[in-house]
Amino acid sequence: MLLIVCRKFQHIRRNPLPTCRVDFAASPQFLILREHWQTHGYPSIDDDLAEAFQNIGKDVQANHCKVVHRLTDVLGNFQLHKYRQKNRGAREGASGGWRIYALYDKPNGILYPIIVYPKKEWVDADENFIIKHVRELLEILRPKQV
Amino acid sequence: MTTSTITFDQMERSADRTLAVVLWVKHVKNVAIAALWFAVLNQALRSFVKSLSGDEKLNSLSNEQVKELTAKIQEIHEHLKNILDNNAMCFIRRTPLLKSRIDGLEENVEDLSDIIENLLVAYNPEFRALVADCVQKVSAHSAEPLAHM
Repeated sequence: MLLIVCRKFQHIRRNPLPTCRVDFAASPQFLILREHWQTHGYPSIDDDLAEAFQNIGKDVQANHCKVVHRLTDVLGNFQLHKYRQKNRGAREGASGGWRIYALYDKPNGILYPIIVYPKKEWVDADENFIIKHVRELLEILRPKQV
Repeated sequence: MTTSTITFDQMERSADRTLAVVLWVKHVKNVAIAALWFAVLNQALRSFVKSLSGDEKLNSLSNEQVKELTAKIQEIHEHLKNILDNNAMCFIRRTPLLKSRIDGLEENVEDLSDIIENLLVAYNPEFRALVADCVQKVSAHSAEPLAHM
């Protein structure tokens, strides 16, 4: 029994969680979206994001991290990660939480959040919903971008 | 030797008690069966989500294969949403043994929803342009300290 426990701890020591530094000021798009949601009915966004970045800083795979594939031609040396974070202001359940897209610079261990939005109830999971949703994000960004 | 006689009321009460026990056992059996099947479903979903979340697997598929896979995941997602949106879920959730299973199922459905979204946005030209713009801005930002050196 003791041997099993020791082996388990050895495994943890040999494979520490991949930590990273979160640079949330690098993307103007992220700052615009954060400010937009804060002034449009989501006052808890800063606390929610702080909690998310604290978790992700400790483990880059935290917060239900998913790697977005098939974008290598636009990503260069980055990986695109997508995270979930609970929205304290919304009703309970994962479907009412935040979604954060972030560029991950794996060699340097830096994560750059680029897009944040509150996840809406998604019944049909179809392409039209995505088109509409992406356009909504672009509408928010368009007037404020330099 | 004494013989006891029971009245009709006593017989009726005894029948009611027996019926209550039978119904309770039936309920427990239904809960046990549901708990087992929800556990099986959660396990199947977890391993499916894990297989789709691997680093480079989806990059190696052709466009046709990805579209076919996306349609299949959308079908699974739709069926799962129907299960979760069923009115009976409110009552099922009240059973402690099943509540955790339903919560787990909801988490897995959200994971599937995120995977579908990721597959769809990857082909959306506006999203690709947005990401490309972000990459450009972030690259310029990360190069700034070097430019001052």
